[in-house]
Amino acid sequence: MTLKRALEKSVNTAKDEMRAIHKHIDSACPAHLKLGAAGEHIAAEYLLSKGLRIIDRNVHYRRGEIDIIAQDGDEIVFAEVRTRSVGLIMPADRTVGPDKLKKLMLAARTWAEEKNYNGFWRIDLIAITINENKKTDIEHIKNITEGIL
Amino acid sequence: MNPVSGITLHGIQAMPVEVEVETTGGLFQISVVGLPDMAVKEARERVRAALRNVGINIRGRVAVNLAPADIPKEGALLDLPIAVGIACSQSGVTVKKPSLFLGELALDGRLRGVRGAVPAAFLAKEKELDLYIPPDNAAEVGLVNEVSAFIVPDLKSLLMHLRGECELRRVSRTVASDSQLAADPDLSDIKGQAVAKRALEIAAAGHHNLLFVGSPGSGKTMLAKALKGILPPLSDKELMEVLLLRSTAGMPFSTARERPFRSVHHTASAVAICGGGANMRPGEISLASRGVLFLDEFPEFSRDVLEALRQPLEDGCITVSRAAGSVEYPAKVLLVAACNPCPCGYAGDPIEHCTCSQAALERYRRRLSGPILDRIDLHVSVPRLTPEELVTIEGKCGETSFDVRKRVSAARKIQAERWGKIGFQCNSEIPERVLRRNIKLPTDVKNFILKSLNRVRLSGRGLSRVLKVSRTIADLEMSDNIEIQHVAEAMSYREGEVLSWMNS
Repeated sequence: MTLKRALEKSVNTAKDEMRAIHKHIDSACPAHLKLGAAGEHIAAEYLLSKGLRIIDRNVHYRRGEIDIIAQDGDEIVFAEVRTRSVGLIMPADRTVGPDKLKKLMLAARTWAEEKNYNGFWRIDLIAITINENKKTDIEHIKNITEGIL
Repeated sequence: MNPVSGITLHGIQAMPVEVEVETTGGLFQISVVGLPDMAVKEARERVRAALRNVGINIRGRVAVNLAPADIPKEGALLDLPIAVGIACSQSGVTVKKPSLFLGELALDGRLRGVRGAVPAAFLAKEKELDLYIPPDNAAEVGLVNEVSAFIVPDLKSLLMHLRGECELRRVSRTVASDSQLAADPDLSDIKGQAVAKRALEIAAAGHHNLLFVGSPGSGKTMLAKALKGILPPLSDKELMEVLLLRSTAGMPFSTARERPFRSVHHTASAVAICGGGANMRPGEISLASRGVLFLDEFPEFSRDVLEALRQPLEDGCITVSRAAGSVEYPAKVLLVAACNPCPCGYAGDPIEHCTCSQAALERYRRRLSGPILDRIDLHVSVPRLTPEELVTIEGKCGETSFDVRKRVSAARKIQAERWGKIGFQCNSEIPERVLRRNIKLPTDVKNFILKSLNRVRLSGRGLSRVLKVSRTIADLEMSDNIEIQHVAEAMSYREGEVLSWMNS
C-alpha cells in the first residue's frame, strides 16, 4: 500500500469516528448540525406522508452522502435535505451547486450498483425553512438533475 | 420500416429518418445519436419541456437513434418525431401506420413551421405514408396532390389523435389561383425603347438570356422588372418545382402562379448565388428557376460569381459539391443582366462625353469574359431617350403587358407541343443535336447564315443559340419554318454593335 493510500485511509477512519461521535453525543453537537438533523427528520416524515417508503437514511460513501433514500412507486428517490432557519442569506434550495450535484449523483450511482438496482431513479431536493416561531416551510423539488443532463 | 419517422433534407429531396428510442433504468438523461447537428442535439431540451407540458415526465436513460446513422441530420424539424418516439416508448402511445412527422416544438408543446414540408409531402406520397405537419406548412402541403396529411396544432392533440381520443384535421387541398397579378411596371408605362421591348418579348417567349447595355437612367432596370409581367403563368409541374425549392429554402410562398423574380445585389457571394453553405441551401440561381434572375450592374459582380454562372446557364441545373456530399438543384433561369457601357456610363452616348481613361475601360471590359457573354442570347443596347421622347405625356406608349403576354403564351404553347415529346418546354433548353435534327433550313436561309458568319464572329454554341432565338421569333409569328428575317433578327442581337465598346 502506498503512502498516499495509507494516509487517505487514516483520514477516512478519522472522519468516520467523528461522525459516530456526532451521532451519539447529540448534546455535544454544534447548532448547525442539530438543525440539519432536525430537518432530515421533518423531511422523512413529509415523504412518508406523501406515501413514499423510506429505505435508508444517512448513507455515507467516500464521494458523498445521501440523506434519505425512498421508494416512490417503481422509482427510487435519493433526497437531499437542506435546512435553513430564516434570516440566513441564501435560501436553502440555492445551496446545491454543481459540485454537490456531482457528489449526489456519484453516491446514488454507487448505491444503485451496490444493490444491483437497474430501475429508474431520480434525485430530489427537499428544502426546509424553519421560522422564528418554529413553523416549518417544506419545498419539494423533484428531479433536480433534469435540465442539466 | 419503423412507424415513427422524420426527414432530413438532401438538396431538394427529403430523406426518411427513422427514429428509434430505447429506455433503460437510471438517472434521467437523453442522448441523441446518428450524426445530429446542433439544432437536432438541442431538440432534447425542447422535447423534454414539451412532453412535460403535456403531462409526460420522461424517466431513465433515453437513447434516441436516428437511422440511417451515416447521413448527417439537420434542422429543428426532427423535434416532433423524437417527441413521438419517446412518448411511444414511455407512455403507451402507439403509431399504427408508418408515418412521417415534422415540426419544431415550442416549450409549451405548440408546433412551429419548418422548411422542407413540400419535399416531405412528396416522400409521403411516394411511399404512401401518413404525414403530420405544423399548421404553418398546411397551405403549401395542400398544393401537393393525393397526400394523406394531418395538421398538428400542438403535441397534446397529436398524442390524443394517436391514442384514438380525437381526430386531427386533415390538410385540405388548396388550388393555385389562376388570377394574374397586374404587371408592375406595365410595358405600356415605359416610354420609347421599342427594340428593348421586342427583345423582352423574345426572351419571355423562348426563355432566352438577355443583356441590357445602356447609360445611366436609360431604363434598364425598369425594363427588366417589366419582364415579370409578360411571362406566362407557371404550369402545374413548374409550380411544384418552384414550391419545392422555396420550401427547401424556408421561404414564404404564394399560391399564385407568378414566376419567381430574383434581383440580386452585386455584393452577392458565389455561395449565395449558386447554393451551398454550412447546411446546403439552394442559391439565388435555383430560387429563380423557372423565372427571372436579374443581375443589375453586371460587371460589378465578383469574377468568381460570374464564372460560376457559366455551367448552370448551359445545363439548367447546378451540382453543389461539398465535403458533406453533393446535391443537384434545378437552375432553369432566364438571366437578365444590365450594365453600363463603361465605368462613367456614357461611352457611345451622343451627347455626354465619356471621361473614362483607356486603362479604366480596359479593366471594366475584362470583367465580362467571352464565355459568359457567349451564353447570353440577346444583347440589347438601351439608348437614352431624347428630350422630346421624355416629355411626351400621352398615356400609352405601345402595347400593354397583357397583350404581349398573350402572344408569349401562344408561342410557349407551340414550343411545348413541339418539344413536349422529348421532355423539354422552351426553345432555349433544346440540346443542339435535337435542334439540328428538328429544324429544316431552306437553302437560302443557309446561304444567308454563311454570309453573315463572315461578318459576325460566332462560336459553335453561339450559332446554335442564334438558331434557337430564330426558332422563337418564328414561333412568335406562328411560322412553321425559320425564314431569313427570323435569322436576321436573331443575328442582330448578337452582332457586335451593342458590344462594340467591348472591342474598341
